Amino acid sequence: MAANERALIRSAQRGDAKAFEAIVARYERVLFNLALRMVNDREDARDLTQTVFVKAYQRLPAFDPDRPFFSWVYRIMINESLNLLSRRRPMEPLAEQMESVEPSPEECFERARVVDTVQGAIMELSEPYREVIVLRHFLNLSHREMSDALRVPEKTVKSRLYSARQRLVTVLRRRGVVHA
Amino acid sequence: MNSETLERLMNDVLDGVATPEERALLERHLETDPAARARHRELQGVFELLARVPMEDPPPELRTEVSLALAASSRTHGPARRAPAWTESMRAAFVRRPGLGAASAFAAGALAVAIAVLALTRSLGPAAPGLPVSGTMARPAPGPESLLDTREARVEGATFTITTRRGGDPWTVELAVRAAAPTEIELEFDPERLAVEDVHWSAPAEVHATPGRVRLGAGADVRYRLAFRARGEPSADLSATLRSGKGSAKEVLRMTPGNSIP
Repeated sequence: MAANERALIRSAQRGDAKAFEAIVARYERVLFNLALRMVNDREDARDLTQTVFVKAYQRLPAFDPDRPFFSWVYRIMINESLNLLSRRRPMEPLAEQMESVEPSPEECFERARVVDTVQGAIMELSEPYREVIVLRHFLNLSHREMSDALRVPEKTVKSRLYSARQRLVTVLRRRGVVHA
Repeated sequence: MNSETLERLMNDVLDGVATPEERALLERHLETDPAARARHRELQGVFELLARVPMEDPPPELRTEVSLALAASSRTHGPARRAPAWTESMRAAFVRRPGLGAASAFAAGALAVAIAVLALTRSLGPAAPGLPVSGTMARPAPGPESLLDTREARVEGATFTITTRRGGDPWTVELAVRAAAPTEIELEFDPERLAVEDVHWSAPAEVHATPGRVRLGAGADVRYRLAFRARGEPSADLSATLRSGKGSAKEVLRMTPGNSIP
């Protein structure tokens, strides 16, 4: 963790609101995207991001600033996302498929298609596989960082990634996106 | 090299975690094994596809929502050290505005909608006595969807958040209840100033409505989205009373749309 982030966390722990605002600014986008890829719903991702920051704020005094903050807050987000997914019901009327906020010019069409395809495929993965794909490929965490965030050994991270990709290939092949 | 070992090696190389020796080993193998080359191309295609998924921008109002939620959290729980000063200034930004005069025609419309909402009633377990929370709805600052306020109330075994938004017309009230036991929420408002247009919920729930009052029952974790139609320019009050068998809590929200939320 960078020294300036550690300083920010220490300041926030002492009640410096500006410091926590800086932490929010730093992690808002990445946490929103983590939630979005896990639950595939922008509104839910928005709610989850808000919830996670509140929980992080409430628990901040107990947080050891010498530990990696991102892995701590990502862990909170993953738990919250899994909780939400476990509460979802098939008939839930508020659950809406993720919609692109972009307008639909031609140059955006391909991108939207790729996003829809990949998102649809990763939603077919079980949650442990989905979370490793999201952390590695969308948030660009290293195996070590994933190990911290998921609280599993690096060896397990690697093995889970391998299995997740195997399944992803199968799903994408079935969808006609990749070919053997 | 068996197929699983080869596959893991491909993963490591594509993932950037292989040693130079491992990369060289894979390259040598691919030169002599067409099936492995095909599989490698396939796996490479998946990596490339994943890399093409961009990070999305969060909704622009999210930062404000987080700030408001933190302010609400400070009131409910209080930070372990001390409340940040900016939450106090945010609270000071909310000022009550005078309401509208009566409008009998509007009240009739409200009654009609309330009757329609009544038709949606679904049954659930009995509600228990308990806890009050209040909010104020008001015209927002201009914008595609303006967050008006958000609060969180917590009692043993239950958490409740309420958010008011406005995206043109109508106003929207969003409620999220997380509770281990049956919970009841009662919304009260002036039927001559506000009318419920629509109610959505995330799980089977009990909904009763009469002019000026909506009662919502929830078994455990339920989200509600209520659309309100307001008449005229000034603000309109809405209070929400939460009842849980395990306790009660009260929040009062006062908002004026002219005050921008930082």
